[in-house]
Amino acid sequence: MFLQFQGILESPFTFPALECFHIVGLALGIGTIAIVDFSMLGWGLPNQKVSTIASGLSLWSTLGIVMILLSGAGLFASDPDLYYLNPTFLIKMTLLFFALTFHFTVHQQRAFADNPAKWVAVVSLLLWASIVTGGIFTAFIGGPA
Amino acid sequence: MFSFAQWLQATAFFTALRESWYVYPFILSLHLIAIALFGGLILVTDLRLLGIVLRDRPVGEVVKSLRPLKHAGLTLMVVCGLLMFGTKAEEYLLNTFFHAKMTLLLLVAIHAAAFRGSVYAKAAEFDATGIIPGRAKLAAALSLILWIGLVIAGRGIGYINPDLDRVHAELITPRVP
Repeated sequence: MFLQFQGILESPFTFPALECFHIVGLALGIGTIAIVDFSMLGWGLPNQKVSTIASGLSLWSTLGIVMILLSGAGLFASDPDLYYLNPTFLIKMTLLFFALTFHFTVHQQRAFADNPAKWVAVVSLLLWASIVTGGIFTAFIGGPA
Repeated sequence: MFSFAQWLQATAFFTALRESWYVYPFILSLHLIAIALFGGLILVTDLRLLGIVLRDRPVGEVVKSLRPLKHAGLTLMVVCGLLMFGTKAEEYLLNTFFHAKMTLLLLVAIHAAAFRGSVYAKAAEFDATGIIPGRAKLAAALSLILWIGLVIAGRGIGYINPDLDRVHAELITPRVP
């Protein structure tokens, strides 16, 4: 169903390099989103409006998300069968779809409009945390026997 | 050291952790969540000191108000790291990337000791003068390099599987030169 890019596995360094890129992308993308979430919860940057923080960081969140998606696509392409046939991975992708939709709609609208809500922060943090967990568990369950 | 590692991972607690199929990936997930959520705090603090992000916000405020969250994240990261170490202490001790990671962590501690007083505790003063001094930028750049190095070394650990059987055999019958 998906084309495999064997080239990614040709060098022993490409796959781990993509993984490191993926993890640094997590820190940048999810990390900056989390700072907005923490301010919505009243932690973090208390004297500042959520909109100030969100507008200062949103470009960085997007950059991090792009890093995550590009490196993730590379990891996937190294052996697509290993991933799209794995139910754990499919759950992760479903959660990712929800998280991205939530981030670019409700989350950003609320943050930019200075209309923070605790439930928005909690949903955002839970979604991203479950995606990270899904990524780790993809390697542990649901793979080929 | 090696016998300590053997004793540690043989304790009932760490044996139970090792023998459960889901506990290790769960701890690893928490470790990664800590990186995702709190690694961003380190990046933003450093990038603010470098004058790249949140430039319209006071340096002192960014550094000071993110600190408690950073400490919470670091604690979660370290606790998860220690738990993972305990489950496979022997393997980690023989893993070159683990050595690299511990060296980098030592450098992070030295970095904190070297710059806490002169940079991080004085960040509010930079707002008064309007200039971020060179040493603050140096501290931020070094911190970024160290933390990205830690991610790389951490990921590398998973790619080395020390030959424990050979090591154990040599413990019983030392290799003749």
